[in-house]
Amino acid sequence: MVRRKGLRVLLVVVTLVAALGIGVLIALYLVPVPQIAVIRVEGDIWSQYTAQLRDAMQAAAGNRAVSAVVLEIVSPGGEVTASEDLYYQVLKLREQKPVIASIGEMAASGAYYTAVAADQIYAKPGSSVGNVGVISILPSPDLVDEELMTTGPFKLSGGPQLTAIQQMEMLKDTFVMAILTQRGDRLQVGPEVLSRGEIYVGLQAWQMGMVDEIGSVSDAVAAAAKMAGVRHYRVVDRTPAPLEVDLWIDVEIEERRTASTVASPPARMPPGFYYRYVELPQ
Amino acid sequence: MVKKSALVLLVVVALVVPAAGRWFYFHDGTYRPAPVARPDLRQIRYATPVSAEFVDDYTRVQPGIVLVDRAHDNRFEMAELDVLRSRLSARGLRLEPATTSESLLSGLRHARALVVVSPGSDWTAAEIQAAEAFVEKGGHLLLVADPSRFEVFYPDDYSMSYTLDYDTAHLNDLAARFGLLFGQDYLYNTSDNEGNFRNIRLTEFADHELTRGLEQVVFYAAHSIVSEELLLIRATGETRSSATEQLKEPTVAVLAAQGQVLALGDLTFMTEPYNMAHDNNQLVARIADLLGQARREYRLVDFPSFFDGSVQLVYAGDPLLNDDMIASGSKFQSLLAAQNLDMALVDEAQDNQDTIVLGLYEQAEEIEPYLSAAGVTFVMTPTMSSEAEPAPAARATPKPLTGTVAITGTVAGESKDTAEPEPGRIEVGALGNIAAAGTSLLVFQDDGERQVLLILAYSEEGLDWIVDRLVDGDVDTCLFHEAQAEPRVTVALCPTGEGQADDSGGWEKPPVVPTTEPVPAEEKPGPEEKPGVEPAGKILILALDTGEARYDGPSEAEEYAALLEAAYDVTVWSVASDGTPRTSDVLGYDLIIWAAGDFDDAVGDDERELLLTLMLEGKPLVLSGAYVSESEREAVQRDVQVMDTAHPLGRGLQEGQVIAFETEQEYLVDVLEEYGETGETIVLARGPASEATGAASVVVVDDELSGMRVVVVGFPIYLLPDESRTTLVQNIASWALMP
Repeated sequence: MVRRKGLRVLLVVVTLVAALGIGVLIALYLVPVPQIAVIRVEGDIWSQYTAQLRDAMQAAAGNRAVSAVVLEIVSPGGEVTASEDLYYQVLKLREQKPVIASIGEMAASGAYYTAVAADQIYAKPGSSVGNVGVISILPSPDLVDEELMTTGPFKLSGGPQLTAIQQMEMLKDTFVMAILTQRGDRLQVGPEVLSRGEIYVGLQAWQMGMVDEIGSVSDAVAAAAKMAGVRHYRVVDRTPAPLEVDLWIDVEIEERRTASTVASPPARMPPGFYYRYVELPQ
Repeated sequence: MVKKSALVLLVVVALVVPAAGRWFYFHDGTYRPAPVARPDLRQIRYATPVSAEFVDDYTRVQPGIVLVDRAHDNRFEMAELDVLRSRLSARGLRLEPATTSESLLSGLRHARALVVVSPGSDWTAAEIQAAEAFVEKGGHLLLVADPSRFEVFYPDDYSMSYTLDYDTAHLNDLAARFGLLFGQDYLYNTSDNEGNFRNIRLTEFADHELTRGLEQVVFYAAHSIVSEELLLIRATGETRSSATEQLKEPTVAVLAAQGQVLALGDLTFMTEPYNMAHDNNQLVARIADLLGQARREYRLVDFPSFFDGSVQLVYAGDPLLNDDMIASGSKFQSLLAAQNLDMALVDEAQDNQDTIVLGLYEQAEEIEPYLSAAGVTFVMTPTMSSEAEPAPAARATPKPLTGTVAITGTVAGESKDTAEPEPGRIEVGALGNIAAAGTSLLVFQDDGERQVLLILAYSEEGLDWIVDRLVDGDVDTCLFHEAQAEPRVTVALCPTGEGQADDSGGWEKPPVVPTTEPVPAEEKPGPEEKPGVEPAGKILILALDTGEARYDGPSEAEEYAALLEAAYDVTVWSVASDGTPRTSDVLGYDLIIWAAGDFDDAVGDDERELLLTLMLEGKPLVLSGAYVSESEREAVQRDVQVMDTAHPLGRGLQEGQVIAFETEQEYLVDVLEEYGETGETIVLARGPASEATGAASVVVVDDELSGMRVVVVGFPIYLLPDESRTTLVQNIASWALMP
C-alpha cells in the first residue's frame, strides 16, 4: 500500500517535472527573448538597396522575437520611387510592430520621407533633417529623325519640360502630404515651410515638430522597447549587407566645373525625379 | 477523481508557468498598433500648364539690325533668342551677333537696337560709353540677366571651395548708367507659382504699351531690379527675393531712359517652350516692337547706316572717271550692299533720294548745286594768289558754321598757265583755316527725310584715302564740327597725308565760335595746336607720385615732359593730386608714359588694372622708374651699357657704350631679370660699375600678335646725362608712336 502510494507520488512528481520541463521548452519556444531590431538605412536610397531593406523589414515583421524595429537613418535620400517604397514598407511594418526612426548625421529628402512613416522620430541636436522636395533634370525636347522612329511626340523625352515641371510639383505635394498625414498635430509648421526644402538641425526640427525626441540610438531603442511593451530585450542588428555601389560619389572633381554639374545628380544617375539632397562643395 | 483533476491542473500549470513567467519577465505590456493613416493622394492635382492664345499683330518697320552682345563671354546661346529673332524678323529686323569688342563698337554705328544678355565679363569703360552714346542717339537697349546664368570658379584644381560668378556682376556697370541695378538674387513664391517655387506668376503691370492688355506672364527664376525708372512688371503676393527673404513686391522689368532701355530679370520666359506660358509670347512680341521702334539719330561717323533704301552716287562735275574713282564707287556699293542698301550711279541727283557725292576740290564750283541742295553754301574764290596767307577778308570775318563752307583755292585748269599753281586753302568757320593740299572734306546733311554726304578731297589719292577710311569706319583723325542748324549739318576736315602744304600750311587756330551744343566724344576737337607745327602725337605722362620718394629727386614726369613737349602734345597727370585716371581718360592718347621716378610702391592695384587694360588695348606704353617691374630683387645701379643700336631706341647711341649715372646716391633699383624672351629687346643693360651687371635696364616688348608695345625703363630717367637722356626719350617716343 505504502509502496503503491510511493510509486504514485513518484509518478506525480515525474509527471509534474516533465510537465514543467515541457513547459519550459514551450516557454522558450513561445516566448523568445524579445529583440529590438536595428536596421540601418545608410547612403543613397535606390531601388536595389530598397529591395534589401524591404527584405530586412519583412523578416523583422515575421520574426516573433522581434518586438520593435529601430531604423537608424544616415542618408541624403535618393530615388523617388525607392523612397516611397520604403515609406509604405514602414507603414506596413508599423501595423505589426512599433517602428522608431533614429536620425544620425542626416535624414534629408527621401530619407526623411522614410523617417516620417515611423511611429516616432529621434534625432540628435545636430542632425540634418528635412530638405523636403524634388530635384530633376528636365527632359530634352524630342528629336525628329528619319531613322529613329517613335510612335508618339514624347516617346523619347517622356514629355515636355513644362509638364515635367508640373509633375515635379505634384511629387513635392505628395511628399508634403505624406509628412502632414503622419506627423499630424505634432507638426508645428505648415506645408509652405516644408516646401522651402530647407535642411534644419535636429534641435530646430524638434522644435518644429518634424521629429519627436532628441536622443541617441539607445534612447530610440528604449523607446521602441517601451512602445512594444518589453522590459528585457536584446538589440540585434538586422541591417542588410551593404551594397558596394554608391552612385553619388562618382563625380570627378574636374567635372564639377559648371553650375549644372555641381548642382545636379552625377552623370551615372538616369534622368528622372529624385528626393535627394545634393550637397554643394563648400 | 479530485486528485486526478488536481494532477491535471498541476501539469497544466507546470506547462504554462514557465511561459507565463518568461513572458512576464520580458514584457510589461502588449503592443496594440494604432491605425496607420495613409496619405489621401486623391487630393493631389496635376496642374495643366496654361498657354494663352497668341497672335503676333505686328507692323513692319524699316529694315534694321539688332546687335547682340556676344563679346563678353555671354552665358546664353543664340538659339535661345530664336523666339525673339522670329518676332524681329517679322518686323523686318535682323539679329546680328557681335563677338568682339571691336565688332560691338563698330556694330553700334549701324544698329538700331542692342541686346545684352548675361555677360560673363565686364564691359570696358569705352564700351559702356559707346552704349550710352548709342542710346543718346536714339538706339534702344535691351538688358537681360538671369539667375541661372552663373558660373562656378574654383581657386585651384583640387579645391572643393568655389566662388559663384553671377551675370549681374558684369551687367550692372552698364545698367547703372541708365539708373538700373540688377539684384544678385532670384525671386520665388512657394504658395502661388507656375509649377515651381521659382516660376513666378506676374500680374502687376505698369500702364504702358509694352504691357497693356497682358493678364499674366511667368518668369522662370528672375533677378529683381532696383530702379527709380518706370517699374514695368512687379511681383506681388508671397513672392520673395532670395537675398532678403522679404515681401517687397520686387520688380522684374524696368523701362528706363525715356523708354529706350528695357531691363529684364529673366531670359527663360522668352525661350521655348516657356514662351508658351500665359502671355509670355505676347510680351516677347512687344519687346520686338520696342526694339524695332528705335529712331536712330545717325551721325557722320555712323556712315553708311544713316542711309535708307536706295542711295544715288553722283560724281561731281562732268568727271572723267578714272580707275580710282570707279574703285571708290565700287567700295561704297559693296559696303551698302552688305547693309541691304542699293546704290545707283546717276548723272544728276534726285531730291528725294539719299545721295553720295564724290569729287575733288577742283570740281568744287561744279558741285555747288549739290551743296546748295544740302543746305550748304560752297563759295569759290579763285584767287590764283601765290601768297600763302588766306585772303584777309576770309580771316577777318570767318563765316559762322551754319552749314557754310568756304574754299579759297585754285581751280584746276585755270592755273595751268601759271608757273606753279597754289594749292589754296580751306576755311571752315569755327574749324579754322587750312591748306587744302593733303586734306579731304566731308559734309553730311540730314534733314530727317534725306541724307546727303559730300566727299571731297584735294587729290584723287586723298579721295581714295578718305573713301577707305569711311568704308573702314575709321575717321578718328578728322576734325568734326556739328553745326547748330536745321537741317543738321556735320562737317569734317580730314588730313590725308599726301601733297602736304608748304610752310604756310597746317592748321591755323580757329576763331572762337560760341557753342552750347555738347560735342560728342568721338568728335572732340584735338588739342590746341601750335601755329605752323603739328604735334606728332598726344602723350600722357602719368606721374606715379603717390608713394614715397626715397631721395627726394626731381620729378621724372617733368623730365619727360620737358624733353617731349617741343614735338608732342604732352599732358601731365599727377596721380597724387588727380587720382588714378579712368580708362576713358587715357584712351585718347597715343602714348602713355608711366613715370614713377624713385617712388616706391607707386603702382597700386588701380594702376595695375589700368595698365593691364591699356596693354590689352594695344596702347603704346612706357614704364619708367626704379620700381615699376614685378621683380623682387633690387641692386645698386650706377651705369648702363648700350646693348642694341639696331633697334630704333638705340639710335644715336654707340654699341657697348657705358653711360654713367649722374648722381651721388647709391641708387637701389629693381633688377629686371625676367626679360630677354622672344619679342623682348634689351637696349640698355646694367653697366660694369653696377651690381647685377648685364641685367636688363631698358627693355622693349614688341608683340606683333597682340599689338602690345611697351618700353620698360628700369631706373629714373633723370639719372642719365642730358645728351643720352634726350636721345633715349626722343627715340622712345618716336618708336612708340610709329604707325
